[in-house]
Amino acid sequence: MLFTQIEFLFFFAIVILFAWVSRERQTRHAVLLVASYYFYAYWDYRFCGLLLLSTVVDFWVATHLHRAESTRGRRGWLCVSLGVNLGVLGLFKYFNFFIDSAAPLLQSLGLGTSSLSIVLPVGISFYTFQTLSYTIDVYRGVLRPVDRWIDFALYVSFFPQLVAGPIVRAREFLPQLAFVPTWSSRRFYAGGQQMLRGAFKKVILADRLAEMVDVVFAGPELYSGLTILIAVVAYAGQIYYDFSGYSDMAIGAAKMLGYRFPVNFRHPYLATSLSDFWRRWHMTLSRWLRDYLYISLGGSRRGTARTYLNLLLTMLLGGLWHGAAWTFVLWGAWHGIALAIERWWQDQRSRGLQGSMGNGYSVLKRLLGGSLTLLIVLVGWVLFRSESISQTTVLLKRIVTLSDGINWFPPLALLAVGCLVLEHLAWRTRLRRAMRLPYAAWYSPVFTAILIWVLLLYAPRGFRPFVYFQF
Amino acid sequence: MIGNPISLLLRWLVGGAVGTLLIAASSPWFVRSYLPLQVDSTRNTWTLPAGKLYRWRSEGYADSSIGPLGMPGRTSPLIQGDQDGLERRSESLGGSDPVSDGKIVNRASEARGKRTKIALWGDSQVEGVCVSDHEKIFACAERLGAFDVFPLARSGQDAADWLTQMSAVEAELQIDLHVFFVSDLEDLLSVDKAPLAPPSFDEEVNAKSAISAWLPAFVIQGARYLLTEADGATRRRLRFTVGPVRNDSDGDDSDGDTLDSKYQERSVKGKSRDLAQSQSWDQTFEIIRRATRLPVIIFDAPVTPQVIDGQVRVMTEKDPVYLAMRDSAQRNGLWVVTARDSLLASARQGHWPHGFHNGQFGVGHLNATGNAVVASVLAEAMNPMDGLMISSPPVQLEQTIEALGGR
Repeated sequence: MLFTQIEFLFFFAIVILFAWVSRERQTRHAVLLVASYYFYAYWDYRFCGLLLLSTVVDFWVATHLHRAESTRGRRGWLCVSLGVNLGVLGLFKYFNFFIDSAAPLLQSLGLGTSSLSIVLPVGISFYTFQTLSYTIDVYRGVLRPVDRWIDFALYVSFFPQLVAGPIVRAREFLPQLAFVPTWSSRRFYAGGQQMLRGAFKKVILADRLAEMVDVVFAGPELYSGLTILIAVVAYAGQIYYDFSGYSDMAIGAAKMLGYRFPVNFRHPYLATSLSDFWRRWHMTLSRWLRDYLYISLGGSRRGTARTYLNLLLTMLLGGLWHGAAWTFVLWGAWHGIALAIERWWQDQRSRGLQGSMGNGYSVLKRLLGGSLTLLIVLVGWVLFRSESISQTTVLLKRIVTLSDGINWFPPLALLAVGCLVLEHLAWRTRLRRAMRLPYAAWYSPVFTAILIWVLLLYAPRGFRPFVYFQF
Repeated sequence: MIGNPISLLLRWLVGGAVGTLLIAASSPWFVRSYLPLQVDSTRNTWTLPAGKLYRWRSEGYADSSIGPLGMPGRTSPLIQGDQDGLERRSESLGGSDPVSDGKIVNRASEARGKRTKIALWGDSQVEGVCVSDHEKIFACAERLGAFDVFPLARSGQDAADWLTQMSAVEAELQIDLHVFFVSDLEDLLSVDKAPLAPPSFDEEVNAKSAISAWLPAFVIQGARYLLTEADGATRRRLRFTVGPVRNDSDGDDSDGDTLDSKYQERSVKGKSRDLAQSQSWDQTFEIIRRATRLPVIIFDAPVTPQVIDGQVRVMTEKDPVYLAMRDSAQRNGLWVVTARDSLLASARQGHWPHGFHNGQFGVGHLNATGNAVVASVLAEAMNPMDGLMISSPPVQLEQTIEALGGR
């Protein structure tokens, strides 16, 4: 079930009703757990077993890991969790990719290859990372394992974040399950507004941008360099509005049920450096990669060269997390290399002219940094969206050479790109608060009515799933 | 916390009403109109209501004035290219208002002397509500030759509808020639269903018409979004059962043989394979020939070139279905004119004949360029036709596009 389906409105209304009338904590959690499994089964009930397996294994492992006295024993239990979670993820998401990639080598050795007909379970990348965060935190001693299985099961399967995040860490969510949240009409209203805002981002902006992006990326040879360039910018807007729209809806839904989720996006295209971009884009994934991968690899503690290598490896695996294709690996590598270069540049600067320049230099530096970051990110999006590396080459070549072709400028897509620019600029002004349509503001009912009408009148017909569902 | 619940409720009610009013005021710029269909007494078919303005806001962006007999864009029988002179002549005959009671008074056409009157039949491609009135096919064609074109096309109609309406229209408009504008050749095969029964009392259609007569268009559109599936016609059915759901709508039979690296010929598959045989066409044209004593032109203008999944697919004059249809039509005494090569030539010059900026090029309906292209082909075709001749010089495609403002 998707947040933008009409069925979800009915489902969510019933869940809200039952959740808020349940005064007992366990009853409330049971209601939410059943609702979450139904939410997942609505797509395909057969994969509920995988969700359950991941839940049972990590609950059991964390309990034993906590009890284990020796470091070896603790490591052993951690390995069980890593093996099961990453094994399931590897089988369902990466088996065919690795087999297909290794096929030429295997065939040259006289070995046959065969692919499996596997459907990628929705949300597996997200809930695997969530359960891993739980066992790793217990292993590191920063979290005590939960006593009640139902609490842990709810943490793993809680429907607002189940299929596409935000990646909520156990230590952020489990403490919230220790009590029944108190009703707050303001919080409920804020959650509703955030859901409405997310729906607008997804259905009106992202889906309209997708109409252009899909067509141009399907046949780049047909379109002019200028049209392709606009399509790349449109994709930057599409993926941002699609995913931040989903995150807004998830955070808003959780808020309406009385829970708090971490923020996932903070106007990423305002970033003045690539590391700044990753502090603003899919923030919960960035944090996860930093805390559980980059730091585990040694972070910046093992010398300069190793720091660069760790950055590259982290981003490479981050790219692979997004999808089983070489374009994603290259996208990760592109960001990894750029981050390593940026780090090197900062290291050089810190030994040199630090602080000797005035304010004018600082503004210029931010502008240059922002432009360069945007360029790197846009080239990255071409890789990310392309179906093959050769398609990436065609797209970039046609942009650079300003090739002839169909000049196609869809007004609604251009309008949505305009919204992207204005929204980012407005975030730096006082409009930032007003755009959230505060509870007491006189204009909130007016704009709420307009938003609802716009959703009804101008949403593209048909159904377009969220981009991040495929990850 | 909440404050006074009454004042809160009042604030939201007033605010909601103001927001709705703002949407209502701005909606004509963005929301198409929903006009109640009416049965035209001459044509005996559902048409858009004469005298109204029809807004189209999805693919393309245009307003069409609906004329007598539900003709989109043609509000009078006057010739578009010589409007002033004809109006003067019409007035000298004592008739300044050519439309009376939704029917055409033929004074103006009497004044026109030998001008050939063409009934242009077709579907939504010819109806042309996605372009402005002066860009519609009939208007472009009239600017290129000494003939009057009556746009009688209606979205969703095919040869059975045209044959059913022909005789009444011939008498009413003193038609000299029929043009069947066909974007899909299969639309001709329905002729054996003619004459169709006159529109009967349809509860659903009448209910819809009654609603659209008084409800604002933006409310209808909002309700349609909520209550219907993506096609806008099927009632939405909510699903609350668990998945997986089997999707039966897979498969696209549009792959084809490669002609060169960029252009591909659409292959003849499935039902089309049968259409490449002449027998099915002979029967069709025999029925058309018997339906009227007037000349009939089969005007072939498929959606070509077409962009499907990033590939350009073309339909040339070598298409075996087209050849079988053309040979059969000629054996049965019908003219065949095709715009295939002109449409392809236009696209090769960068003027794509189908699609819009707010849709997609190479998909959907004819745009202003496409209308100009087919109008010029029609005008050119009129030259060598014995007995119906007009004597304007042959029109070059590029000049025509340029003259009409291009795209």
